[in-house]
Amino acid sequence: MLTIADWIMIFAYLGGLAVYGTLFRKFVKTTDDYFLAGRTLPWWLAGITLAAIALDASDSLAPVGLSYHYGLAGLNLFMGCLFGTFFLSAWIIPAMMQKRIITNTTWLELRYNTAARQLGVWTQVLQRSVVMGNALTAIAYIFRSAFAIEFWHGVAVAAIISLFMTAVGGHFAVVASEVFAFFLGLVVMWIWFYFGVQALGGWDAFISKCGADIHFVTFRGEFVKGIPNWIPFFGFLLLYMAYAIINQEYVKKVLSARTTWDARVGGMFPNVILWVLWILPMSLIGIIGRQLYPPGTFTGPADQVAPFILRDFVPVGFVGLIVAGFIAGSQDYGGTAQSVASLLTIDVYQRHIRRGMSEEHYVKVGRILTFIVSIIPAIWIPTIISFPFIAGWYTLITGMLITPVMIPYILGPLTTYLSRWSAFGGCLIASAVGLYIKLGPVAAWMKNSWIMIYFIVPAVILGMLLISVIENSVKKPIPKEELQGVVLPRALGMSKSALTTKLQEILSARAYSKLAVKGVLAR
Amino acid sequence: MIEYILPALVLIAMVLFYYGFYKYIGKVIKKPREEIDESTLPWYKRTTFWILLMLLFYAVFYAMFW
Repeated sequence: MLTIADWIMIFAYLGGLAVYGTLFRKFVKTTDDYFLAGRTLPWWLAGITLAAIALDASDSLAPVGLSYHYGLAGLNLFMGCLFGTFFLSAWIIPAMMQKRIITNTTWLELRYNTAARQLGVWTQVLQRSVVMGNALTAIAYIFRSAFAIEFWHGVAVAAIISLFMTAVGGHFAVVASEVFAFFLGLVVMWIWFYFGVQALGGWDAFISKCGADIHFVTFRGEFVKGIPNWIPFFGFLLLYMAYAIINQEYVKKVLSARTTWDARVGGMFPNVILWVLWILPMSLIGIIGRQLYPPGTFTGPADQVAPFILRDFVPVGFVGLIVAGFIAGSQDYGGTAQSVASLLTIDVYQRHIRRGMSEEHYVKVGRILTFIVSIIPAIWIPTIISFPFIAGWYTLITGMLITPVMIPYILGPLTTYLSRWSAFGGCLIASAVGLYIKLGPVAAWMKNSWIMIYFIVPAVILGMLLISVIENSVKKPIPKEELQGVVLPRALGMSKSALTTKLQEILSARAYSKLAVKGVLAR
Repeated sequence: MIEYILPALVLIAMVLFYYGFYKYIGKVIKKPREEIDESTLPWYKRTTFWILLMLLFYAVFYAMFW
């Protein structure tokens, strides 16, 4: 049973969020303010909110299920995302910041065409709706273990309050509450881990029972039967890279930075450290959970072992703190809904339905859509809980349909050669390859999402090149003037390489010192 | 006792943080935004350094828990 302290914590936290969200209303005047916090964030704040994307209740619990089965795979899911951030910071964000766009899919239209933009929008809507479905499932499991109540009741309350806050306050409110919630969550995850270790019998027992599984590749077990673990391991990294690159919710946090430099450093540094600190304990809880609740002792996704530990081993008082920290995840549910709403408002409504309306009008539409898109994900829940871990359905969908879209983002800024239709065509070819592998007469090991990715990524690249060759020979290549401010200046041949610049700096410094030696400067 | 003190401390921290952040956003929104020329920055502030540092972190982390 929960104590009064537990209940006070939960209600004060949720109530506080709702009141707090309304305060930020005065800062929201334009779509930039609503969706990108007015592009005001310094690097450290952009970085922390980027890390806080893992607040999503599904992201917090997904590592548990993956690590229950595959060693440190739960942590590797986020390491893959971070690997995608490398591409973002290195050249995707500098290309996107040039035109001060709000959504990453706007850039797809500028670089390629409307078809590519719509592909980007709808694959994201699909991906985010699955993530939100995962979040609902995760919260439902927590509420069932902590309160022994029907999960839908608890989920409804948490989701409504967080959506209210997000819808009224926009990205300012999301940023504000995420930063605090992130650090609360960080403490909570380690407390949870601590009680898991105690349940096993202390630190020495934890090391002796779980030590062999705290590995990315050499854990006890196999990703795919008969295939060396390192092959799916790299496929895993490749697959989850897409999360950082195609995801508007992720990219918008970098685009909220005040300058390109803040965006790049914010993307690169804080979330690397913070994610490891956040996700590592959850991965370890999954590994501990396998010892406490071996396979066959429960039904449904393995992610449930974390709520089981909460129910069976965490003392009263701490339960409220952990649940409150976890409810932080439900507020990110509002953030996710808002990012999908931003895509639908700007890329569909503003672009194709009602052009030239006032900023207030689009902010209002964005708010209404935030509420609407929050209802859709519930349809995925029955499918999600049929997998051995809650990230299973996401992994499948991502592998076949979503990962291909990351390639046009990665290659587009680097060259002017890729033609207008190459992105849409290349992704279509790759998705067809993915569907064939999944449904066609191929070896069973190839159907695994972490292996299939090795066929899909080359398919997109080759497809894009093939279509570019055809389109560029039929029409002329895209004029460079049209791609100004869309691709990197270097791709347009406008800027010198860093090495050339450096050499010139050195030469001019030497010339300066020679002149100084000769006394020229003294005169 | 800890089960009462800890949540109370967290709530106090939350209120203080929220107040501070609200004030901070009010200030930050008024600051002028100007792009930074990276070539004028010292090496440790350049993005290339941060990208390389992240890759090094990856290599070390994976080697530790391979």
